[in-house]
Amino acid sequence: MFEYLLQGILATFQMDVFPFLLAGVTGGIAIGALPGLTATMGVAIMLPFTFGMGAGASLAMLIGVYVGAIYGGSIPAILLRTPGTPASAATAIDGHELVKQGYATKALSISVICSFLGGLVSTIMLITVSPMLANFALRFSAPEYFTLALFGLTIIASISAKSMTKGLIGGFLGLIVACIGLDPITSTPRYTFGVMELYNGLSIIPVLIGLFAISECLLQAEQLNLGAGNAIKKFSHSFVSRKEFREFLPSGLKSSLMGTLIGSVPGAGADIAAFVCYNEARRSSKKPETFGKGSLEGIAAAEAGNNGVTGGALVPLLTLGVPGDAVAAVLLGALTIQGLSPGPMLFQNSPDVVYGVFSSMLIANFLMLIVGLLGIKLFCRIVEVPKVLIVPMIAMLAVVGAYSMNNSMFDVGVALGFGFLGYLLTKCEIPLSPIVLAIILGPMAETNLRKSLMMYEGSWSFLYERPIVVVFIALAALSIYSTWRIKKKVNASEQEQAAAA
Amino acid sequence: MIYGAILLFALVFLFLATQFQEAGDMHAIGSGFYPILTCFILAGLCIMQLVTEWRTASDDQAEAEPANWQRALMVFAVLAVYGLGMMLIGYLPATILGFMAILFLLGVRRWTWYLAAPVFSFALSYIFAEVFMVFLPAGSLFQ
Amino acid sequence: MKKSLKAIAGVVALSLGSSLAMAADYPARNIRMIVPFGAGGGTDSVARALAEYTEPHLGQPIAIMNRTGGAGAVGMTAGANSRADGYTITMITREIVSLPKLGLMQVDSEAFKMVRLVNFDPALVTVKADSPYKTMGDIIEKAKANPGSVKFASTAKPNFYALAIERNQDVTFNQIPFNGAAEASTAVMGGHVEFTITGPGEVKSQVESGQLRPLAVMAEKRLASMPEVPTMKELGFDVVSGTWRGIAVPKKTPDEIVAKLESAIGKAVADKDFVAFMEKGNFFIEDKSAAEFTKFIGEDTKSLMPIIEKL
Repeated sequence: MFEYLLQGILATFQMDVFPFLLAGVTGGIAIGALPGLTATMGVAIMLPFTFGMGAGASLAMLIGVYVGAIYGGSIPAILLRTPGTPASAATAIDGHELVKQGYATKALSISVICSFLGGLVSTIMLITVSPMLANFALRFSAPEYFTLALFGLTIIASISAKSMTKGLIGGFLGLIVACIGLDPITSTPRYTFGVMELYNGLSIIPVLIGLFAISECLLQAEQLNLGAGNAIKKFSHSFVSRKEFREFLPSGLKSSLMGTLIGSVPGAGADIAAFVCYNEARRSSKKPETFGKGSLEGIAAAEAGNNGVTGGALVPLLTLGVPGDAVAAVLLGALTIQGLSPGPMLFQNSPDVVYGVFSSMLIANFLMLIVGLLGIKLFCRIVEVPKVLIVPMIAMLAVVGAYSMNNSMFDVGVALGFGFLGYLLTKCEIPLSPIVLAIILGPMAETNLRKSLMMYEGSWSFLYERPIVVVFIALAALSIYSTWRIKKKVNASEQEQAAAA
Repeated sequence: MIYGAILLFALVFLFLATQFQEAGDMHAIGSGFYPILTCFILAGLCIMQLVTEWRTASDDQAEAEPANWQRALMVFAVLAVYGLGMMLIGYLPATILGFMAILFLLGVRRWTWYLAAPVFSFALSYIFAEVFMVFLPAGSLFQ
Repeated sequence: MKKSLKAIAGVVALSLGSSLAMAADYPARNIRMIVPFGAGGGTDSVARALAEYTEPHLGQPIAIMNRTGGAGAVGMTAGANSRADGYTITMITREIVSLPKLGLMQVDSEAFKMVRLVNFDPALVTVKADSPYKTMGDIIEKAKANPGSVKFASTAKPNFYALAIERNQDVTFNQIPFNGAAEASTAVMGGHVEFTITGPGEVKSQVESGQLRPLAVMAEKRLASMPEVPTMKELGFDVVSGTWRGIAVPKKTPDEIVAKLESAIGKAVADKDFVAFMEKGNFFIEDKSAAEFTKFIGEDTKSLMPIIEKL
């Protein structure tokens, strides 16, 4: 195995592969950073260019785009509170808080370090234990998906800094919005009002762009005071300290493992992983009350979690021949174009290709770390751009981003509508991230609950008969309990302060 | 106010959800079950929040609104017109004009700042149209 | 800039010239192909490859424009309502027949002029390797004895493959919907559902590695790549079903333009590199001229009607 891996790594450093890998990673970071362009889209756009390349270069480039794009989304999420891809929606929560406190460099460096960590851990797991991961993935069925989503959803109540009710209102609003479209089980139109564009439901990208980017523009426009707006905001260039590193490393490592597991399950991608890992990090944190207020652990968990998916998603591709997420589906296409059929036979028939994929993944993550770290200084410049220019820039970028996903003016309308909604809700201190979380996880919960009932012919026994399900239910219960405990703690300290005053 | 609006929204959607087709076979729960449950809880939450606000109303009233909300509305109007205008006059001119309009609304009067509009717009349309091959609206007036 | 000048020149030419002159110049600028499904899927791969190999025969680039939504309804409607000048072509799929009949799409195949059929993938029934079902007959028997007891992983709802079998044999399966073939076949491999029906390419590697076992193919004749798998007809179940992809333009497009497109696509489909691409991707080439394609759609509508009416 090591011999093959070594050969693979050497092959990856050859001039007919390495430049493509580097181009892929850098291009991927740019694609991820632009709202409206996702990892899936980036890889699909690059695919025709690889028709004429060899298998090694083609896969290296696509893998580079994949790894880069999942990380790239976090840059605007942190700096502008505008997630570049849905996978970075969870990063925006704490990342942008840190920037507001003046720690842009710190937030960006945690994000790139943990993205690297997630990618590295998941690649190592992919290389070493992928048959076991595949076995785990095969045990995932509708009940497991349902309870995984349920666990992810329990964070809604605690995401809101001030009022639990407000967080819940945001979350349930998201759950209803997510019902729009054809019912996934029976194809009954729900809340579509006969509008064809709504049959597939609202696309997450324009909703995300509206809620975060456009609402932010409106809020800025309202608060902007020209004199203050021109003044360059002071911020700290400090990197992460060793103490901080030790603080967020455990949650980064745990999220890397969880991200890999979630990635190895077909149908659950980086966006879901980021939120689930974020929730788990908060649940198990020693300082859960800092989540949502610029927690380093929060950024670490979300970023390690979403990049952890990259290696995991290749597990079912290489072991079962089925793609773990939409990006892996495109990679599957790339493999078949090269005349290779993915699946367990690939290890026997073309080990060079398999180990080429492994070493491309490994090196892509190192390249991402280097490019990311080198880029931090450049990215931080965005914070120094005067606010009066940032507002129209984000606004224009938001509109073209919403449009580009599907070449659709309807999506631009959706983004504008949600932008206004986000503006109103923020004024009432209703948090926006529960809405996004609910839109991502709500349909997964509903569909799989109903599928479970169909599989169990109407019986609810799946809730206690299946071990993984029981684990998720326990985690969900613990999560609710810890939310209640945190609220009590926060209330107590507030009362103390009030008494002292 | 907003909780009233959300409450109304929840009730309307609740009513609509009761109209959905119910599950044909015995193994499943129907299309309506989950939206009804969600709308019901949302309505409940809104009522809770309304009650809380009503009880603490005196505190909230004290907070004056210093913010310039008219400007936010105007920026929103510019964006809406920009979206429609893009269809008519094409992406690039609409973006330049939209960018300038927002700068104007934000109170920028020095003309040098307005140079950012064409620079940014050209860069953006180059990246999306040429590098990522996204079809930007060409404008129906010119087609 | 150059591009937009060219576009303006094209527009001027369009407005000045008669439809004949327009057709004579065609194609004078780049062409866009609307793909009603997302980037990365099967329809998208076929479209991108077809565009790649058609370009040299038309002398103009063809750019792919994914317009997803409504299970293909959004993209196909946009294609039907686009300008009838041959510069917007649409990859249409079997949904053009089924969606309007289900009331999920306002336009139907009448809004298009067919250019060329490119691909037809017959449906393949597969079970888990160690499944107790040895033949298709076993599944039908169990479903007959105990309606709704056999769990079927459906890749789309409504699933016309399974409905065709249900109608023909008067049985009912417990249809559990999955989001595409990947999730459905994983559920079969995991033993959570009992069988699925997909395109042969979507399960080829699992069949080769022995994780899935094919029981029958819903085609007229056996597949060249899986000669040991019997057709449904051989087994005594008269059901043929599958999915197809072809190119169409709005109804009002001048015939000269359609003829140019038809011949260019015909050359692309015959291109040995395209053939190789399709073979590797496990897509089956089905080359039908405009007239044959139109007839084919009429027949497919007839075969789907009784199934849809029952819904």
